[in-house]
Amino acid sequence: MELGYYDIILGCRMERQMEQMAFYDLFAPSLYASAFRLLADSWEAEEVVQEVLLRVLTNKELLIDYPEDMQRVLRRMVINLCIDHLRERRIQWEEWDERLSIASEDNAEVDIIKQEDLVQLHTAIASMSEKDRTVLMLSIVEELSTEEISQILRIKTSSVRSQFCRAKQKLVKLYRNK
Amino acid sequence: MDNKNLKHLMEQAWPVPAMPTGSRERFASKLSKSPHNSARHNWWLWGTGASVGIVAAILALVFLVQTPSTTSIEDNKILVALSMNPEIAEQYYYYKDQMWKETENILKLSEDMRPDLRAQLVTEIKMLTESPDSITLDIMNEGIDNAQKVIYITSVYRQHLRSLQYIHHILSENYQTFLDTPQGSQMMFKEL
Repeated sequence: MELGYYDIILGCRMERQMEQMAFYDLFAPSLYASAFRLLADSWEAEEVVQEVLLRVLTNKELLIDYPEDMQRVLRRMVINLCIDHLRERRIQWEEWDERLSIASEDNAEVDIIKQEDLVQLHTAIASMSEKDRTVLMLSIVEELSTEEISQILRIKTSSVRSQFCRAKQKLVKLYRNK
Repeated sequence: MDNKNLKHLMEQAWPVPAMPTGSRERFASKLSKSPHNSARHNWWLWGTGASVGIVAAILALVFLVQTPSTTSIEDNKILVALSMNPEIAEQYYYYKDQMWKETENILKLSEDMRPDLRAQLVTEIKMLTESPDSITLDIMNEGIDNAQKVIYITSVYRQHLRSLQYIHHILSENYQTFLDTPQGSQMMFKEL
């Protein structure tokens, strides 16, 4: 019998392992994807996801009745923890000069990227610095707002915008050079 | 190209590999070892222990019910009544303690007594030690003031204690020969 979300949450509140594992099955894959895109390491991503899920399952107050909200909270927790892991790798998101980003934003043309060029794009993403890749992933793939990224990275929103534009430019440049 | 299209491309260009093998099992293991769930596990242990205790208590109760004894019910009644009257309880426990000591002495001294006489003696002692309880319960239910109740109950227990002390005295003075004859034992029990 397949459990509905509310049955899962109820079971988790009652600390029943079957529902706790159903909770894991429900959220772990998408959280793992988010974690992997930021960390680019399967084992580290798994560790982050499991740590977040354990934190929520052992704290009933964090269990939310609405699946969309639960997903949002979990994803945010995973991203925050991933950023902590990246900080341990001594990655710093410094404050950037806002003026630099204004001119560069319009020049970030990536129309040239075609479906068949995915391998080249992968190489370009892989060769980016973790700092730039993180900003791009948070903004483009995770679809976080500039304010959210600003809170997560603990930098000004203007710096987020600058970093994003520069990262996007770099991606295009790297791609073109391949 | 807008961010939506770029997202699509990036997701394809930067695919996420499958979760490492055994990930689910590792999580289940972490979950069972987490302090929260361990506490729950401990509660299960406590619960199991409590269940075993309850079962043992029920078995003991069944055993007591099956044992032909009326004292346990009387004891329970008197313990409830005494819990509500500390003044009487103090006297009760004092005399009960004294009576228990006398009973112990008597049983020790009568170990070599003829079996039929000893059985009669044990019945007598049992009656001497238990009858004050039912009398006490009756007195406690009387419509008299507490001081009167204490006097009556103390008097009942003192009287029964004296009877036990008398038996003890006879046995300790080596009246074995006297008790060994049916007449002698009858005389002694008449005196009680």
